Amino acid sequence: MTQPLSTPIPGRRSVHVKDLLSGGFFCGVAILYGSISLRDLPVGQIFNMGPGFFPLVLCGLLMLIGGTLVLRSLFAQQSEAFEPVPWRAIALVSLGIVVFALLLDPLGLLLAVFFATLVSSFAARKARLLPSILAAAAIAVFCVGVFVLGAQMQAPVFGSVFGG
Amino acid sequence: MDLITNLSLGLTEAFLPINLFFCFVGVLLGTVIGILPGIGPLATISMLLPLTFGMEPTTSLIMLAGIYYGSQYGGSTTAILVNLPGEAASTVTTIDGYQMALKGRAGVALAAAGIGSFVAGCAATVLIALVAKPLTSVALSFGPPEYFSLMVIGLVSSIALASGSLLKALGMIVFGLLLGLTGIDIYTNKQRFTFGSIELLDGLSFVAIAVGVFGIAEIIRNLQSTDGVPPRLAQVGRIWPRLDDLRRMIAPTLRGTAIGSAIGVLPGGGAMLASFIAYNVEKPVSPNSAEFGHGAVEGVAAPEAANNAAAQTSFIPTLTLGIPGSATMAMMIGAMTIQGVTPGPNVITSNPALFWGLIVSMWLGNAMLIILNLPLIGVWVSLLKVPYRVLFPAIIAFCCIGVYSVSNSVFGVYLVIGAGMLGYFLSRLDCEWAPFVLGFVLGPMLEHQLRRSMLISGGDPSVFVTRPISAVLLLMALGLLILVSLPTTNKKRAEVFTDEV
Repeated sequence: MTQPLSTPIPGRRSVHVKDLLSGGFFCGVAILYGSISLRDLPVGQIFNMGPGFFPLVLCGLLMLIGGTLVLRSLFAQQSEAFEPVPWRAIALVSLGIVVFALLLDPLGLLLAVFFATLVSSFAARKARLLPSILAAAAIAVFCVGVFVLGAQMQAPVFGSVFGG
Repeated sequence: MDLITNLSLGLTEAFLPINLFFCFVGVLLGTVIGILPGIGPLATISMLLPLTFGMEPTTSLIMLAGIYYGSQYGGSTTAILVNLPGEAASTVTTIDGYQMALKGRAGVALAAAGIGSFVAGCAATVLIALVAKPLTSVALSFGPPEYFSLMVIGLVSSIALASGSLLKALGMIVFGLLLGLTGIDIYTNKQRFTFGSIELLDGLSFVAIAVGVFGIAEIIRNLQSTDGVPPRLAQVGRIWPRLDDLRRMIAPTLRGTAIGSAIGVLPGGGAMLASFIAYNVEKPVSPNSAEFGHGAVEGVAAPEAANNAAAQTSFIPTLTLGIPGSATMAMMIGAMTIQGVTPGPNVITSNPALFWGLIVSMWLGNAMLIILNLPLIGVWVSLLKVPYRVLFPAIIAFCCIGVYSVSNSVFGVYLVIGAGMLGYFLSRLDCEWAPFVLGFVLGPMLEHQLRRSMLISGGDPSVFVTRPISAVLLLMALGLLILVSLPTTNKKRAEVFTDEV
């Protein structure tokens, strides 16, 4: 294991959070996909499998794996240090991608890339407005040059708002 | 002679100006992006995949292969100069490569990596040319049970390569297999796991998922750990090795090539495993073994030769059986499918120009890499000085454009966000994505072969163990699974993977 392990606290049993959460995740996926299979997909017979057969086998397997992880986590000897979640980076990187998806059709590739890169550049804590604007403009022009003119990508440079 | 005709067909195809040009572009882009921190071959290929859509299948595969080994080479450059492996396969190179750099011999280390890779590339090209034809005829005799067992062994060996817990790697495989089934079931025309979305009828977009879990998640991780500060660089120094260095490189390079070629052919045996084994074999055998860990040129040449040989021979199962041995090869299969080429034993007969052209171009690409990397190393060093906070918005833009152009719809772009988040959080829980990707690509194939097997055997599961080839393959998979779950091997694995960080 690569994660730093903290020393176990004597006399107190700790829960292995990473095992618990990943086990829980696998169980959740297994239950969701398993119930969809049972509801919608015929299982068929072994010599003529229906669309539900293989997924159901996989869900059973995943449930078994997830369950073992959860059980194991409850009897762990050690817990692990948990780094903080970089919410700022996550939020702004995602927002940048959403901006791209929302603006592409109405405003076109050039401006969509510009605003997407501008927004996401603030995911780094030290970002400043003016350099970010300049960088975003350069990236937008570069992308249009490479992908539309170079690789003949099928996307409007200017979107429907500009009559593109 | 057959071999000569085939290779000359390949030469004609690879030397077509358009193929030559895009081989160069691929190698160049691969190197550039491979040098950037944390972007391995997988993310690079998925980001640049859209550039190849408008091309002929041969040209596009040549370019993608170029990107693959270009990014692998770029990864060793960062390993040597900043002690950061640009991708997993060059982790071992950091040990002696960076020590050499600290002693002012970074240039020689880069040359050793380049020459080692080139020699390995030449040998691997000849090997592919020799074994591809015979292996194809073996593959044509495979029935559904053999294919099924072959995929099982591929999946099991991807666990051996995962660095964390076996259970989590298994879970990620099954999760990948499950998500791979999304879309219309070809036997019954029934929709599976589409959640009522028309966009999911063709399945989840492989490119969107790869870009999300390898590209976006990696950006978030990098922002967390560096916050955009550029790394410290070692001085390059003189590049051309002394005669003494060259003499010391010969045997390790050849041993590394042999080990890498053998491991690359195995399903699941990737470039990373090859470089680890080559280093660990070289260390005790070498007459200079005391120097290992303190900047031994052998410690760079052997693993670099091995990972390049493995990278190339891993095309053998991909091209002859249509079964990817690693996540990167799964990506190549995805690219072939998009191009309308069905990977498998028929490629070599139905499309010989593509097959042989690709193989010869790998050798050409390796020659280009040497020319590109050694004299131009100064350019790459300056690229390493670009702060990350300038780079990552551009990478995000490339990711978005890339995914959009696969389907010309923004649905895939939203999918990237989901994949990126899931990618980040599951990695934080020590769940790795390489086994997932392999499962995702193999999911539909595995089910298809299972159903066919049961149809021909009339529902008798013993068909997998009564057919000899299938039985042997399953036995090997079982042996491998037992081997990796033994406490002692498990501990060794943990040590190896902790060393690398």
